[in-house]
Amino acid sequence: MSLFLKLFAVLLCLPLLLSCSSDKPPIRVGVVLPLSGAFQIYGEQGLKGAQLAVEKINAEGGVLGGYPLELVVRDNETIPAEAVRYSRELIQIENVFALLGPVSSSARYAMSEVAAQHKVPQLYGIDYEGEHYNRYLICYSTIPEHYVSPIIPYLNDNYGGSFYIFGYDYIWPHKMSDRILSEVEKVGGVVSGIEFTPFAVKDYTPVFQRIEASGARNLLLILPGNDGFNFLTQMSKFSFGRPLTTFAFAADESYLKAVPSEALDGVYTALHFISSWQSPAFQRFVALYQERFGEQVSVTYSSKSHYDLIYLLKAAIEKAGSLDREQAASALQGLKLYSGQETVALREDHHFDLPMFLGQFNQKSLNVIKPLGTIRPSDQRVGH
Amino acid sequence: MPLIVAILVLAHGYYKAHERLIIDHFKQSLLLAVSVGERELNYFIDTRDREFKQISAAMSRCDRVEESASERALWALRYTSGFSAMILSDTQGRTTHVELSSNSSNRFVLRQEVEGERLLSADSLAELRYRYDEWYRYLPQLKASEQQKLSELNAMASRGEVNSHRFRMAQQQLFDMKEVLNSPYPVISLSEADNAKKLGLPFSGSTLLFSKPILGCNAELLGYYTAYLDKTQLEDLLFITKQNLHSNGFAEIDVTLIDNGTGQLLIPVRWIAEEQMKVGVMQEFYLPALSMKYGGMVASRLIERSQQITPVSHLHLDDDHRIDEALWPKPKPGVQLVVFISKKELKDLCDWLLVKVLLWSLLLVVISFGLILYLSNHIASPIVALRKQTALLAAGEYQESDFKARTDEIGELFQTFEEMAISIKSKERQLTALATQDFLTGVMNRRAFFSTAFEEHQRAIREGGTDITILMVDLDHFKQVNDQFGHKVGDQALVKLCRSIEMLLRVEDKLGRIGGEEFALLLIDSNEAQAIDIAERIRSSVEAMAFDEIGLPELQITISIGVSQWLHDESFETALSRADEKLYMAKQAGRNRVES
Repeated sequence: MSLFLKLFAVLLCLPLLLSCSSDKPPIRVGVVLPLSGAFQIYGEQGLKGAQLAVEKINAEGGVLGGYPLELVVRDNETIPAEAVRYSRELIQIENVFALLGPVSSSARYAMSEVAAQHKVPQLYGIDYEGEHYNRYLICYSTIPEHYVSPIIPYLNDNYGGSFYIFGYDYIWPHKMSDRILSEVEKVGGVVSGIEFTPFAVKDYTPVFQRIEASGARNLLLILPGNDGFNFLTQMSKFSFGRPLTTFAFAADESYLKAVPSEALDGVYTALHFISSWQSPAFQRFVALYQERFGEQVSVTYSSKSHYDLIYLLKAAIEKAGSLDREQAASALQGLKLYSGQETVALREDHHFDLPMFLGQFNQKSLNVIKPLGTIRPSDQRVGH
Repeated sequence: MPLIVAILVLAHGYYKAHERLIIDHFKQSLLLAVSVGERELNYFIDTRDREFKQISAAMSRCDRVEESASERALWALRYTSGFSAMILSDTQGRTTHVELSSNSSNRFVLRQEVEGERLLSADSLAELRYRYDEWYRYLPQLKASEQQKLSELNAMASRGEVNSHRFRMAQQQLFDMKEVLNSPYPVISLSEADNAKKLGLPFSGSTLLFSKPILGCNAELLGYYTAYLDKTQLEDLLFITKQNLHSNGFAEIDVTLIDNGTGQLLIPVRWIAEEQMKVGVMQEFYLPALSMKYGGMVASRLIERSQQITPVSHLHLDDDHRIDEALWPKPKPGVQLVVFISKKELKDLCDWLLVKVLLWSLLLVVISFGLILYLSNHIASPIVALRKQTALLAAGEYQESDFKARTDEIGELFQTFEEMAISIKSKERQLTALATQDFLTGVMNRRAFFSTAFEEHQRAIREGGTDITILMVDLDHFKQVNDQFGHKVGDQALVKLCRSIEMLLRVEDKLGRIGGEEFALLLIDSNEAQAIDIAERIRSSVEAMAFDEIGLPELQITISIGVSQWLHDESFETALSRADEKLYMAKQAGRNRVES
């Protein structure tokens, strides 16, 4: 009788063995990032971070008991309509589980409409102006409260209370400018000039002249990417006749290779990740990244945010226990990565409490001048 | 083996039936998807056609001469929802103006600089020009036909004939004329694949273009206007079809449109063998079918409105006013809706079905064998054993069974059988005893003793001549004992005599009562001398017997014994007779003695 029972038990297990032996289809993540155009550097860094996370997760056994992750990549060339087009293609044809990207706010608004229409989670990992919420959008982003609020008093105290704002002519710099105005007013400072510019301007000399004429002691530069490199390089050759402290929003380690050190030295930035910060979590990430992409490659906050977003997606799927988009979207809330000072926590408003660091470029390196602590912005859902 | 065969046949039938069900499910799902998609697409294209008529009406207004073509284009697009953009081009096809619609899909479109670019294909431009030239050539004829038709209608109305079939037909013809009088029929074509990107539109690949000439108020050709179908709406429509199939459990699906004229795919695909679709014109799969060429199950439908949107109606008032064949629109090949499910889906499902069927079959075989083993061990084997025991009992060779105790019906059967066998054996022993034993003394009776003697003699011969000696024993003066003490005492004396003799015999020796007070003994493997010795001991023992236990101490009995060796070649009767003679001699010699 016991032999019969053993044989019966073995037969019952056979279907399980058969199901285990079959390959699990990949969980596809549609990546829409600018791999060309004005914000190419942020797109490339973000893609590398995502790739690293996917490779590491797959090497460690995948998601939810063996499902591998797969990135399906499209270059939206920093063009919002392309972001729409590719998002639609990735959802409707490639049947991706989630979207990752883009970079510019215009492209993000465009893409999030498509994502929300199709109920697909969208993971966004770049600075923006805040107050963009929908159920499917996750913003691992530095928003004005993360850095404008801490750095204005710092600049005011150390360099005086006169400011000049210069940035791109689109929504993010517009909103940042509004916030800066508010913070400068709080410290009793003055904004002596606000100016917005189109993309791909060749010669910024007229701008420098206006800055010089303004008498401002602090320049708040909201001009990331290729144009920002160009601006800083040209500015270093212009004589303002007085000390001028530059704070470049979204300036990261990629600037070290793109901008001559004489143009970059002394420039401030504030980021949620600076690769030289000696914390175990940060250094582990830097080591992994450089092992994968080479020691000479820049490790930036865009790399880390997109890396972390992939891990958050993994955690959400495993918390949901299924490959259902709605359940994964619900499961994203409350997730945390890292611990201690480096903790990043996803809030109900789909934004993050982030550790912020004031950094300064000096002698071909970007170093932390002052940890600003974990910044907890207000609820980004309008009306809350 | 027959059981395995039966199970496998059943499994095969079950698999085939369910495989058919799976295939039917695929076909039904595809049929539903393609039918609904066909209906939706026909309606979509029909709506676009009607919207373009509204655009045409707005673009052909001559009452506001101060309004430029671009202003009219802006107004024209406002009353539509299915077009992304309209471009105006000069008579050479060079773009002069782009107007983007306010569709939600255009929210993030950035205006692109395309002035001077030729966005219309050479074929489309040529067709537009041809149509215009033919229309312009026939315009006086058309106007004359219109006037004539108006006159006819007025004449009928003046005589009160407003309800006749003839009146209504004339009205319809006038209505048809109006449309063609305003402008030539539109040219419907597919855009070049890179047009959308050039215009910054939020979709890729080709879309349908609706084009017509821009006419001055004197019907002069000023250029052309082309409306771009909002392909995102088309994509969304097809995506709904795909999602419905997803919700039915299908994963590897493609839903696409193919231009029957060029074989061009209007919507990208992921699973279908795209290269095969480019080879020749794809046949219509009106009913879903498995296609090895395309790598899966396909259903397709020609979207009839895509063929019909270039109007086929013509003015056919009578032979004198027939419109030239050149104005008759060229038949368009149209687009075909293709819904596809990868054969891998079907294969995976069938493979899984096969695995399940095999596993269940194996399980069934194992359970069946288990039941057979169980039945064999618990029912069949005991019945067989019982049958064997019954046969043994019938043959008189009953042996005790080793049936295990059980509480079921079979156990009860076994129990009953055992009891019956024991009872039979007991009665058999009783009968045997009755047949072979002397009732009083319990020793063999005459018949049994004679039979035993025969058997012993046969055995002695077989064993090479073992000696057998016969003793005849007779109680002395037995009648006197009976007379003096009664028959009861006499019987007791006989019984005691037998017990006394038995105590002096070996196991192999036989004792039988062959007369009233006469007994015979067979001493096996004993010669005469040994027999005499035994006989003497018996005599002495009997002589010394006391009957104190029955209160007769004075009772004494003696026996006389005749001894004779049974020769091998003589019968028992002869040997017994000789022993009897010796007995007689013992009696004559004074009794209470042994004579040999």
